[in-house]
Amino acid sequence: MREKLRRRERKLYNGTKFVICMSVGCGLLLIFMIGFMYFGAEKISFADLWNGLFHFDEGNFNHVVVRDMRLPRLLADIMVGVSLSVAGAVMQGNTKNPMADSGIMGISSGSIFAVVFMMIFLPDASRLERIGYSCLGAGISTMMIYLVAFIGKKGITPERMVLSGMAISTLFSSITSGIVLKEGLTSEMLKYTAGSSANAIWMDVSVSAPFFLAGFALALMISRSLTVMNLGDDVSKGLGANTAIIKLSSTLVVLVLSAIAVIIIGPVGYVGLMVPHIVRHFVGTDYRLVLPSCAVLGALFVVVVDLIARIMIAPLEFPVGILITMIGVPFFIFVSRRQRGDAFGG
Amino acid sequence: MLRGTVINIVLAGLLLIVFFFGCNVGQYRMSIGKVFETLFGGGDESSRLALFEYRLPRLCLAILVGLGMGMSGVVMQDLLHNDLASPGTLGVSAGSGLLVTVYVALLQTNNSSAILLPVLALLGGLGSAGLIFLLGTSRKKRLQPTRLIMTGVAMSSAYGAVGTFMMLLLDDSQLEFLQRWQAGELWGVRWDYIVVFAIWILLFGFMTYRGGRTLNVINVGYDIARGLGVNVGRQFIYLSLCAVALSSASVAFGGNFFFLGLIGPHIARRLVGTDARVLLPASGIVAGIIVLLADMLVQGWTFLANIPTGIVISVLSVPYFLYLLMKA
Amino acid sequence: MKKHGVIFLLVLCVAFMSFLGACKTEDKKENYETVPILEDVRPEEEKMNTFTDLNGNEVTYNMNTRRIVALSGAGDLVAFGIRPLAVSGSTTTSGYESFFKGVDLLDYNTPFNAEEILSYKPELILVYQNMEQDNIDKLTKIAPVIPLYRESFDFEVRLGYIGEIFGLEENAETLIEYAEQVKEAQLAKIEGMGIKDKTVSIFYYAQGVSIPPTDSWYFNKIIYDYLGMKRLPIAEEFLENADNPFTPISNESLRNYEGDIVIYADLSAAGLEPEIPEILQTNPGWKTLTAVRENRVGVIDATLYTEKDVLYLQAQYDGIIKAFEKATAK
Repeated sequence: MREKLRRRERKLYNGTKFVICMSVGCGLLLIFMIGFMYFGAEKISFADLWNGLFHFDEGNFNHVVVRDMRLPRLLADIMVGVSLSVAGAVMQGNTKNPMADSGIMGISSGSIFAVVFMMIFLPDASRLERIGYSCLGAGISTMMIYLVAFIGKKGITPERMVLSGMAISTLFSSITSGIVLKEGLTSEMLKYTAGSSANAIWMDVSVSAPFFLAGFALALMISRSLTVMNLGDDVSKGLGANTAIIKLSSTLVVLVLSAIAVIIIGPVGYVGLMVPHIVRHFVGTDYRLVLPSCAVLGALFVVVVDLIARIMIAPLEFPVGILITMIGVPFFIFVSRRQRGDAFGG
Repeated sequence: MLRGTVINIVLAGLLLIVFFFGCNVGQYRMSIGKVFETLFGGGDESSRLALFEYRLPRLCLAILVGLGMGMSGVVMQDLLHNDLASPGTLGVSAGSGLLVTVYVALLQTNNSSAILLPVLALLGGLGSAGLIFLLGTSRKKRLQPTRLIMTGVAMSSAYGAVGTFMMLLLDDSQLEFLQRWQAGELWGVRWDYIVVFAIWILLFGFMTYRGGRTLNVINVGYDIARGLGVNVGRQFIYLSLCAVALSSASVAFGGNFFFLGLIGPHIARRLVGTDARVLLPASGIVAGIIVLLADMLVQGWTFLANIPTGIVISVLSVPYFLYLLMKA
Repeated sequence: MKKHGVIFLLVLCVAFMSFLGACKTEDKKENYETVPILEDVRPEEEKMNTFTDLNGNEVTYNMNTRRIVALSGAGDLVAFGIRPLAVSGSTTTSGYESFFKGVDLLDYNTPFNAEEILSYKPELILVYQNMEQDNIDKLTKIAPVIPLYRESFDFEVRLGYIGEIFGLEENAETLIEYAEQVKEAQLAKIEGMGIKDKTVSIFYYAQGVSIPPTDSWYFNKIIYDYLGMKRLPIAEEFLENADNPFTPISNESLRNYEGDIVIYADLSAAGLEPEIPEILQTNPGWKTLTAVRENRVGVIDATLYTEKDVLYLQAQYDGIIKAFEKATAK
């Protein structure tokens, strides 16, 4: 009885924290969104900002900057942030591995391969084709990772996921670097892997938006089941959850969301690792709370980092992917050190 | 044991055969008769040059890299009781690679002395192994090999990211050198390098082999080993150091052959069983044969010209690894 | 099930391997045979010569040898009338087939495969200027090695040096004169187009628009030095910082870098007709350039400008003039 009460108390406590987390996160996000629109390589007045958004004049350069450069980039950053962190959280729940991340797990290796493939064989590919192919690449590598981890007696375990991810990504990156070295594309390749959302346009946003929304909605729909599933397969079976369907749909979520991030910003890792960690620290392990918080904080994180990348060496661009990595690696080491006791189901 | 020894001798014979076969593969065409003639002191100047200056050092290097990686893999797998441990999966070779990348990027050079590169690689490997142990273990709990490996995989991706960042500072020729090196290319094809490398491998190979019995006992279980009077902690560190030294030198001269340290022990274990005293040489020899074959493909088949050997090894061994993973 | 899996993986792996090997691009056909056709007038008999190379090393070799392998300067050598046994480097042969008759292309070029070179049994190996001493030593065991000027832009130095190596000073004179004539002719064209003092901006695209650094791309030298066109001060400033060439310019500021003439350098044309890729055409920063809106952006094939050999000079100038014409069209 007492135990039950305490649990209930904790639930309430997490709920309060969730509300705080969401409201502070949303507030900060709003502030930084305005900051993102206002600051940049070119100076723009608030009046121009306002008019650019609501009374657009094609002849006015400042309006163009606001509507065609900053706004799509801001939206792209938000989508990337939400996608990466939600995909990371779902993946961590799905594989029961708190260190899962689309970059670390090798999902992006498939899309890098696709990009290199296009550089060589389809240099004239249109933007839409590019998006299609890199999605296809990400999709194939994800399928292969899950397939390999799935076939076998034990089924999906965190360890098998990591190893199959590693193997598949080694396969793809070996072939990629083979082509790159044979064709002498090393420096172009490196620029792509650095990652940047600087060239996102409205079309990118509008093409990915429906998939993004669908993926995000699906993630929210399965959030309850994910929580239950994390209690253990037996418990969830006892509670009548259909594990196979949930696993399938969560894989779909991971696939769609990581693919969106990859086509917009390139192969960027660590967001999906960092944000869910911080969020779980605040709101616990209930995915109904974790996923929305991840979305808000993920968007906030990418928007802030990209704002820094834009104004750090203006009028030049700093690759945002590198900035994220520079934050991500130390964070990762810190987390794995703290996690020593309870990671990997230990 | 006896069976294992016999198989080892057979394997060594096979290695020798592949080696002789390798003597006949290359862009400079020689008849088999001429190769033999040259090997035993005859032949004209060109064939001597091709054989002794280009082919033999390459083949020796390939074998040495295989020996180093293969033995190192066995030690790591036995120490951690896990078939998936290897210099590649534990991130040790990525750590070695990172330090060399940093060195090339900071000093803006791709000329390196024969001693400096392995030492750097060793430092990188040791640092990386230390870091993985620090992050993957805890004082309160027992050693969990799976966690170590997962930490290793994640750490190697972190090293990769840092390496990419460093590479953005490089000019094109250094960039190409590093990329090829990271993909795994036998680049130290010089007799003086090979002598250093061979001494290194012999020394640490011998030291590892001496620990073979201990390795067997540890492989059964830490507690049992302790019960049998083995100082597990000390032996663990000693053997890990040997393994890191073996793999680092291989990484320094042969680049990052990711799966080699994993596949070699696996195939060898199927052939000779789990006794470390026969497994160690067998695994080294098997890995050596793999590198030899891959290198012969690159050297002999112009179709694969300009592709680093490591890529051929990866592409060939990933399917086998996946097969193992599916079966496991 | 298991067996099928293995077979599937095997097939996959074979497919990937053949894929790796199959990466080859095709060249376009075009002729630039205005280069004077010169004869290799050296006598056949062996004549040993000792020569001090550009690094100050003394090399003794047979200066009448026909058995040459060249890792650099292929375009210069064939213009001299010399036909090496094999060449490598970024050699363009298409459009110049008659010059490269009987000349092999080396398969391995990273940087070389000693055995492959040995298999030609050369008597002289010509290498690029910055080859590491280690590699030079390695090749010296096969045959005498002489490095050629690769980075030098000065034809008198480049060609004079090759003339000296082979005792073909007259051919060198002819080629130097030819280079001078081509340059004069192009200068006259520029004069005729009335764009002598215009500023020129060259851009390339790699995850963002940026300015190609001076040294790596020969078109910079041709446009800004030989033809005497001007760069914008802001572009000069950009290039002064050594780290910059890797960093794209913000789309918002791109229009500040626009000169009178805008040239796009296509890095990946690889022998195909150079063009502005769709990914750049839809770039919001690119669209703010006046030249883009008026559809007068000249396009050059940057891969044509990796080598500075005299053989390609006419084609290189033609490419630039064509781009200028497009860029100044009304």
